Amino acid sequence: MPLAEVNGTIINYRFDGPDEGPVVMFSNSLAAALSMWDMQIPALVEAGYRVLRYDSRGHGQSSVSEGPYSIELLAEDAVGLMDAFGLEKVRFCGLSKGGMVGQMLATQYGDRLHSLVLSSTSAFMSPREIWDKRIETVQKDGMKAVVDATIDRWFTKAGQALLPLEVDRIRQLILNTPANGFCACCAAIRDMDQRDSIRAVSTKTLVVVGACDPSTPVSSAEFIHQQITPSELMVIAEAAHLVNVEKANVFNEVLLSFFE
Amino acid sequence: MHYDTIGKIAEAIVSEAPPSFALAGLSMGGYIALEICRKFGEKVDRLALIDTTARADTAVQTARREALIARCQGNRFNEVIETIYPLLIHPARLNDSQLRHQVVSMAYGMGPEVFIRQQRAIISRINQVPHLSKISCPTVVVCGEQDQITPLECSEEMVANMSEAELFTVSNCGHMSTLEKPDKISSIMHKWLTGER
Repeated sequence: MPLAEVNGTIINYRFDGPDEGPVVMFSNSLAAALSMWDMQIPALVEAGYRVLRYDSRGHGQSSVSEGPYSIELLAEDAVGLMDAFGLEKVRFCGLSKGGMVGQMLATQYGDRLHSLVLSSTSAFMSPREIWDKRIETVQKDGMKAVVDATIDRWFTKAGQALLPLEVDRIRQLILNTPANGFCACCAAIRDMDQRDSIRAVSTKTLVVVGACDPSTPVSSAEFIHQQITPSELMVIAEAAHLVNVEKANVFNEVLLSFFE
Repeated sequence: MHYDTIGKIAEAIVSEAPPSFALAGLSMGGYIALEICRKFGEKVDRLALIDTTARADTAVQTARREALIARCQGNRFNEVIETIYPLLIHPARLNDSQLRHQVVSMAYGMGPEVFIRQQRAIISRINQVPHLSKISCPTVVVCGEQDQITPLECSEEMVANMSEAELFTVSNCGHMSTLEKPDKISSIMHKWLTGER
């Protein structure tokens, strides 16, 4: 379990693929960790990429520093990790919260990005009350209080029936998320508004969304696509929020074709 | 007729067609023509495949189509047309207002609901490459040299897999070849229809 001291915290990370390959950096969603990208690794490594994944602050095996966090702070963590390994530019792929970090990177550290994939994400998550309620629920009753509803947002009913093992693995990932880290990141999402700032993004961007995503619907992806001039939008049919797992093969093909 | 698969469209056409006929299809029309050949090949006297492909959709192409469908459902068909139009024609014709008028008015005339059904049908099409070798009627394959939707290599692949097919490449021409180069395409089709078989 390799750890790096970054931006005043400890980040758990992992490299896969050839040392000399172009680097693709993955950033996880709320209540997940670097293993949420397991189904992307074989395809990317086969294509010659060097993959860098990490558990975002407050998640997985990374430290749970005191909250609340901000998307700015989480973007500094990502840049800090790049600095730690001397990576000047990366292809960055973030899903949901990871995509919010990706948007922040593109506006604040655009020169560090070769290209950007924003999957299942939004520039703004309203209303605040939902996030306050979620924080309150988890502080009181732990992750088990939100796991079922989360799975229902992350996978379609058909996907849950079709991929029982994957869904079970993701369920464990959610349950293993530190409650304090989860709440600190909920606050970061609650306080974020990137609707205006992303208009300045000049990084080549791919916006991906599941057609049946109830968390960050197609309209959120279209908004980002409209704001970011050099962007392309792709909608993946029969998929909900965790599109990289529910439709892994399609997601991988779309990703590789964009990185080419 | 409201069908959203290439197979059903092909069956509907054949049910109203004479016992045998010459068959020409452009782009999606070509996907339908290849399906008719696969299922009802004995009825097809001659075949013209214009700016089309025998391949199935790739995952990336399908994801792009789904994004267009989502925009139609969000009442933004006009944006869909603006996105697609530059891909349909030769780049040098972008300022040709007459051509634009023809293509765009056709799209608005059709409307978003038909567009969505057509996209669903196109997404569902099968790979026809393995079936091409069974096509034995006189066939012309026509492609605009600058076709960005179904590039020339798709036409070359079809010709390479058919025994009686001849390739015509139309220079300075995009995907909408019948509208971009009407005289050229008409002359190819005239020879195709009157030639010996």
